[in-house]
Amino acid sequence: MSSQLALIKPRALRKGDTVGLVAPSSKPFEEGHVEFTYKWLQSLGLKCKVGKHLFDSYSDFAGRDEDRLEDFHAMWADKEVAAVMPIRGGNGSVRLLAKLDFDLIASNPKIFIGYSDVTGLLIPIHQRTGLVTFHGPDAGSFFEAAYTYHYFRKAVMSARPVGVIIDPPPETWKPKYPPPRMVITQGKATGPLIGGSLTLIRQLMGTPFEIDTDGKLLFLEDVGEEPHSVDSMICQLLLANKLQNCRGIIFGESVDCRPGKSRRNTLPLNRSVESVLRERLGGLGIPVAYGFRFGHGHEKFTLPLGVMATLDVRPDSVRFRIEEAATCQ
Amino acid sequence: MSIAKAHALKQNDRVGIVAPGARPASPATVSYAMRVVQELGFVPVIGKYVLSVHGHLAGTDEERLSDLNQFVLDESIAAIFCITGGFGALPLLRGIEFETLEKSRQLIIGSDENTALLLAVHGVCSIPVILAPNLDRVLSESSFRSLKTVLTSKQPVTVKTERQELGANVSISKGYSSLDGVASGTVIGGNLSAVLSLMGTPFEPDFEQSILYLDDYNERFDILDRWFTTLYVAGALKSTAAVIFGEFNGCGSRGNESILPLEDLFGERLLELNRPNLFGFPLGHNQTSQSIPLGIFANLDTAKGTLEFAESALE
Repeated sequence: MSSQLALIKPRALRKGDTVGLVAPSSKPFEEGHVEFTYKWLQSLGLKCKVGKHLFDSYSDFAGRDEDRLEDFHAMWADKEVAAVMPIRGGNGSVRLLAKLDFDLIASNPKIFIGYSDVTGLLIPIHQRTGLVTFHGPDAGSFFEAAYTYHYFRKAVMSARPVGVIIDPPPETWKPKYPPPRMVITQGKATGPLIGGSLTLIRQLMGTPFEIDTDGKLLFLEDVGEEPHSVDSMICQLLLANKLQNCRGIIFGESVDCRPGKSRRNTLPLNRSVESVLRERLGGLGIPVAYGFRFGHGHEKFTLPLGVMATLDVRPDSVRFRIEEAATCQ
Repeated sequence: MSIAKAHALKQNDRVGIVAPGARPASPATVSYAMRVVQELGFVPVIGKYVLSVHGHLAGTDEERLSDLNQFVLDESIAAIFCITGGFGALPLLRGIEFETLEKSRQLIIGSDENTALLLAVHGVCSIPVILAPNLDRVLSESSFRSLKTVLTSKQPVTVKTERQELGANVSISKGYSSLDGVASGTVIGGNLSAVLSLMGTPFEPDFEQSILYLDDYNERFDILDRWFTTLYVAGALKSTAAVIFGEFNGCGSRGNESILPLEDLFGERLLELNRPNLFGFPLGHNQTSQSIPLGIFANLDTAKGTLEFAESALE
């Protein structure tokens, strides 16, 4: 579906622009977080509009589906708003899809950035409209680390390609889980980027918004999933031929995806995500590497959906470069 | 859709015992499963790899598939029971000897993650399958009796919502519907997470005019809301005639204290879609969970709290 659509690049965000804060998924953890974000945006020279229902609450969502959708639509329709930024993920984005106005979005292209549950909007909007959407920090996390902020600016506040992604320097000599990089299959591949949170990609399966991976460079990550649960989702994607037809796969650092670390159903005799990925993805004949700094860690780079990127996996080094500009002037 | 009936199991029928997903908790679980099958009146044949270890799985995909297919290809085996649940049936689906199974009409019996196996077999072969506690979960007289009936009786079964006994003559239905009504359709479904794992694959169930049955075990409410949302956005719920729910043992908010119960989250969308629904069927992961055939036409009456199958799955 997306391959027939022309790519729409939003205008790069610049000083003096207005950011629209929305909560299409869960409500802000605390009301104070919104004010904190607001001040960060101000310090960048950005103005801010806040969705009418941002502080609503229904179940663990920021209000009813129709109210979250009303806020979301209002920000796309508002000519003053240059970027739509969810305050956080959580749960609830996919609930909006049935009534989401894709024409409104296509005729008002702007920066749209987030991760985790927001994947449920990033992929459908990109595939339905051709708009380059951004898998990166949301409004509640773009300031979390200098590394995150650096790549956020490179991706959305510049009209040049992001270029080579470089790992953050290790903070101490006490290495964090996971290991910085793990080569699963060597090789080199170029293709347009698609991907996001594995749980959300699974959630879209069988719907009209299912991910199209054909000829793409696929990026995946998750948080707090047991390895057997990651295995289950990977097996479903394999059954649906979603991994055999892509050019390459980069797996993000998957925070707390280790046995017993999740709030999920744990099983005895479990194994690591790495061994699951090696078994399932090792034989696909495409380059695969694990442990990139995107997703749920504090340090994350921004991935624009739809633009060309190159993955080069060698035995002793992995290079990943975003080749194409994601925005226009 | 016309469906070929399976053969009712008889005393001393040989039946296979497999572990398509997780390794059984211990060797004692396997001997327990074997004795349950003996007490049902059948002769158990244990798969070669049921106690193999590959992560949490009972052996590699090849080993688990080999156990399953060996029984499918064995004409002397009348049915195949799953010992335990846990993820693992999904990667076997492409390798199952469906053509043989379609002709032999062996009964496949299980639940939890094995729902994926059941629905794939029903979908590909157009034969009934039996949604029943995995053998390690046959833990009460009522579960045992229900399982035996579904496997041997040519009479159609009826399931009723659970009741709370409040005294000698006081018994109250624990059923709940956001929309009462009557509906008829083919009963399909099982574990919600396992149903979801088939979405977008060649084994996705046919939801058209179905009575969709769902349960789950040990899962977070927000995750269950996610999966139910997929069925909503995919149009699957709209295709159904009605949706019914079993037990959700061990499911809860898990620290996400603001989340509403499933009756709210699921019920409101079924009300919007105008689909009769009923929560509280005694099926799933409880001590007293019952067994039902999948792929058989049934009549639902939510006010009465009954699901009456129009015919038996067996001949």
